[in-house]
Amino acid sequence: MASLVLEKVNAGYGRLQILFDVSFQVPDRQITVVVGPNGSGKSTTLKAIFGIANVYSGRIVFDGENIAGQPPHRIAKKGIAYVPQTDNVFAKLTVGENLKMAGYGFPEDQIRDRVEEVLEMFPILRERLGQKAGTLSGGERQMLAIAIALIRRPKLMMFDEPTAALAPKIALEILDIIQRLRDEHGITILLVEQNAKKALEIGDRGVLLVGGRVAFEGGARELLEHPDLGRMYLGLVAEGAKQQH
Amino acid sequence: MLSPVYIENSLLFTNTLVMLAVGLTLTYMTTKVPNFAHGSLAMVGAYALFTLAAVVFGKELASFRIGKPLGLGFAAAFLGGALAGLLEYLLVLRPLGRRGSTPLGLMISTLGVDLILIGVLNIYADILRGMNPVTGTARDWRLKAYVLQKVAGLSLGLWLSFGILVGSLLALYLLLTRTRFGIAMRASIENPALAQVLGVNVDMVNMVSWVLAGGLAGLAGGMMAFAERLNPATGSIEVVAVFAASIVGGLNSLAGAVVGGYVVGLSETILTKLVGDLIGVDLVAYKRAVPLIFIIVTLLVAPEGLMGIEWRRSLSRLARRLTKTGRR
Repeated sequence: MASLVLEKVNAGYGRLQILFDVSFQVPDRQITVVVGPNGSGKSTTLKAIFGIANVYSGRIVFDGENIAGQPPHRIAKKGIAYVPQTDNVFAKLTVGENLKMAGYGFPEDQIRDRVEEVLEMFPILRERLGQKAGTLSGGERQMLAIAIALIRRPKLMMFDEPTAALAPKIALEILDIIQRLRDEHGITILLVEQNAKKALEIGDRGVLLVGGRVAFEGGARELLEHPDLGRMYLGLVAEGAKQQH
Repeated sequence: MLSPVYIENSLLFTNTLVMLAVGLTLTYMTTKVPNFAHGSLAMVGAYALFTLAAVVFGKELASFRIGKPLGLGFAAAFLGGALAGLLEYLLVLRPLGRRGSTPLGLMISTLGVDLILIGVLNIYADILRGMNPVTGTARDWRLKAYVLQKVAGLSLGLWLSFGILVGSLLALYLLLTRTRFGIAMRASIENPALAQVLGVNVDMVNMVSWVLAGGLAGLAGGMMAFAERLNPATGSIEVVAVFAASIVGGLNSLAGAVVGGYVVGLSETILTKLVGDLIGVDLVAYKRAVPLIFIIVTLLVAPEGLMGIEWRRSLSRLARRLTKTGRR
């Protein structure tokens, strides 16, 4: 069963269209990885789903409801969490204040319980509770960003290049955390990654975007091992390589 | 030598400036729009107070005594300013913002709002003037009775001015730090995109900030009536000093607005008098230039304002330079 379905989505920013008839599915409790060259529309896809980019036409169906064009604060309440690539924590607030802010809209006692749960998952954050988030290391900041998203107990988590600018060891830790979110918590993951190889190795499904269009949709391993992957990245192989499973 | 009356008037003016600067900074922090109509929002509040006192209660403003009318008058001032701020946001700034207006365009639109408000208030003042003798002072009025009446050696107006200012700042502080909405507002100020992602309706936060800023401006308008004679354009004339206070303190800091307000306000009034007396020149006549000088110097030397300076680093750098100079 697909948790999230995009049907012929055309989206962009103002008059600048980035996505052209993008259609793919994000199955429930699986990791779907979106890869592609720079400027292919990967981040825009997440932003379109979350209501940050303009959706000109098409449907984005989550749990049976078309959420295309709804404002971000409404989509956040439907069980979708979005972890942006940059500016993903409140740098001037402490770690504790960030986690409290993450529970905006929930009752105080629920927020307390959820903060405790994420601190169990990320013990390092417990040691940094009184520290300003802007002074955390890159890896710690990314963990805090994930913790912020987890406070809301989402059904679907969308990550925009979570390993960008991180040391390789820390990047692997972050990807490991994402796997655990799927395996231990049953959360559906939509992962946009520049590091295609590492991401597809942990993914279940793979989507290749080139020039704002879907060039491939299928199994993650299948995409990773596709003989034309390099050429698809360059847009040299178009419709012939696109598969639907 | 400064007379007690001069010092009191300076403090009355400065308290008003602080109140206005806090509201201006609040709207700039949330929506990044410098509101040139902020002074006129204060006049909307002032005339709401005048309307309640002179029209509803039929009190002559010159002999206006404390009591229910004044309390209700300031409540009306807050509500009048708040409503004007809300309308400015809903009818002008939000539609223009949604149409992709640049920050410069939005800033210029506030100039337009200022001119409209001055025109409307002038028409309203003329209507009031023609009503009856009590409202006949609508183009030139002041809450003088409160300045003449003394309590513990200070004018009642000064006590009220401090009371309203401190009470308002305390209420704002509690709102921003102890309420969930206040935390959402701080989050929206710092990172509106992330706040949206967490379910905060940033548009609602922006709207409330304009309501609050308008309300604070309205209160400032009432406080201004303790300090000087008011007409519909008084607020617009003072807006340069308000901007100076916000810029000196730091446009992204509410605490900075308080500090900047006192620095600019007291410099414009007390410092010009002291220096003028010292050098034998009437500098008070040129006091309007003081805010402009502050704006230029701040933007040249420390554009982030006093609260944006890393004092520890700057002072230790200065100490090192002085030590090196001393050794030579």
